[in-house]
Amino acid sequence: MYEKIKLYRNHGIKSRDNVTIFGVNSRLDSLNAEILSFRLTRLENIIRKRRKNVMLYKKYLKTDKVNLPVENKENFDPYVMFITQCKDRDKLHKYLNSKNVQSLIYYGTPLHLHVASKNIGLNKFKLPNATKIASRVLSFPHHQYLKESQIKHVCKLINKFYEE
Amino acid sequence: MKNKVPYNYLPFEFSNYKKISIKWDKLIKSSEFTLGTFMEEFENNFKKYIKAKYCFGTNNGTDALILCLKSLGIKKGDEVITVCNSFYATAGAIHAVGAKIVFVDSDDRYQINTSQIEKKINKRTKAIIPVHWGGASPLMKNIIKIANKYKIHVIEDACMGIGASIYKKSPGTFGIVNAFSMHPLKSLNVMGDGGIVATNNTKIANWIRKYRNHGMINRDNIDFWGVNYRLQPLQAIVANENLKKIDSVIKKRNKNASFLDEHLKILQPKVILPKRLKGYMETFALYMIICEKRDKLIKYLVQNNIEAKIHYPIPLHLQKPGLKNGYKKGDFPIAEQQAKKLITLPVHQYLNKNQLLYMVNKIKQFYNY
Repeated sequence: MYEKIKLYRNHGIKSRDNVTIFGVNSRLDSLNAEILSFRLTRLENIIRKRRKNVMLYKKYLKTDKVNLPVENKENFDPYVMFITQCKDRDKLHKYLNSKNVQSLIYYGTPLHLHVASKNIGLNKFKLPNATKIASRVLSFPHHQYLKESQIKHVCKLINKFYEE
Repeated sequence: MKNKVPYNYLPFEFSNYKKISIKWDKLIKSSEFTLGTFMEEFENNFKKYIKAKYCFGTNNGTDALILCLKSLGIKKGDEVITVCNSFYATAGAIHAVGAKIVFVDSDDRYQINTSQIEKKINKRTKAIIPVHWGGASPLMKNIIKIANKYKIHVIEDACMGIGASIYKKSPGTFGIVNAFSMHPLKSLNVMGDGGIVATNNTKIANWIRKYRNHGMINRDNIDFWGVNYRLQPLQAIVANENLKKIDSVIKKRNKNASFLDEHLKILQPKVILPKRLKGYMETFALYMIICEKRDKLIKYLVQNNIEAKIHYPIPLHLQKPGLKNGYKKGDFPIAEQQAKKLITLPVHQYLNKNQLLYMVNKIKQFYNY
């Protein structure tokens, strides 16, 4: 696999003048590789901060209407996304927006219900879990540049929303 | 002394990137790292430059070709005709969409031999991919005529053709949907990989716009399953800056090529120059001539610190995957002869007259002229 991918991502070139397969160009360019090398040195720190932010959400959220992601013992979540499930999701989403808090839905339509699926007959599948989750998911800000006070503020708004 | 006449000019090409870096600062502040205004600015400038209705920045030239093929619905069971002396990517793109690669021979300008195309056309043939090989253009008029006669598509592989023209008309504006490359050693280049698709067809453009960006209509809705074949704004900025100087690059290369032509033609028939057709502006991505005792000549030139190259010693049909497809030695005699006799000389925009003269003199010396 390693050998095949190495060849295929660079036109199948074994040496300048020989190809063993007709491949494609799917290589990362050096400009981006250099950026990534640098970013990689920052990665652990970023993940640490994101995980800490998720902990803060757990601490300050005082409602059972928001289900936070559960991390199994054997899993370590870098929290690229922080996807929660919320009761009255659309209302909460609107409410937070009106208070200048950005929250995002990843995603409102599961893949099998998109037009693209319909056109190739994939929408015939009944996938009730995915469909239900799509109506409940909401992601709150949790990136590494947030301050604890900001997370506290978001939690306060969410708590208040469900109290009313 | 190392490389008195270097082939690779990239150390000069990006020695001053101040203008690019100012734009990068703007990009980084704007956070428009995918698509966005920097991309659009380049795409708009490029389409004005080649006079096309729609242009899309892509990952690279290969993906641009794949996009062209896919946009026409070309797939497994279809056949696509192309020339057997090109870079691997031309064949690779056809193979990547599952279609059968049907090679034809080259002509005496190392371009697709238009007299060999018709006999390869059958009911499975969906397209012809002429290649603007080396930055010279094939006989597009003949190709379009054949394609119209049999109602098949023309997709130009104009990967080396940015800045060329046939009676002022740019490569990539003859076929229905066409591909360009901005690899570092192309006339218009970026600092890595980059490509462009151009078309005048609105329906195809609308499909490509979505397909290269996951099939997205907007963040939450997709029209069909797509992929990510986008050019990065980081590279779009480089391309946009370099587009400003492309005409001077082409001019300088043409001047150098004329100089070489002028000085080398007296060596005929030991050295044979290709015909320079009236009305055809070349980019001289590759300055190629046919030489007697080629292998000895290239050795001699390299020994004398002239970085000459061969594009390429083995034509596509004789590469391992070509042989596996059933091709064999003798199938395309012109291209096979050219693979044995062609040499590529440095002709880039950073060479001066002394370097060119040095190279010419070494070649003359080799032939005891």
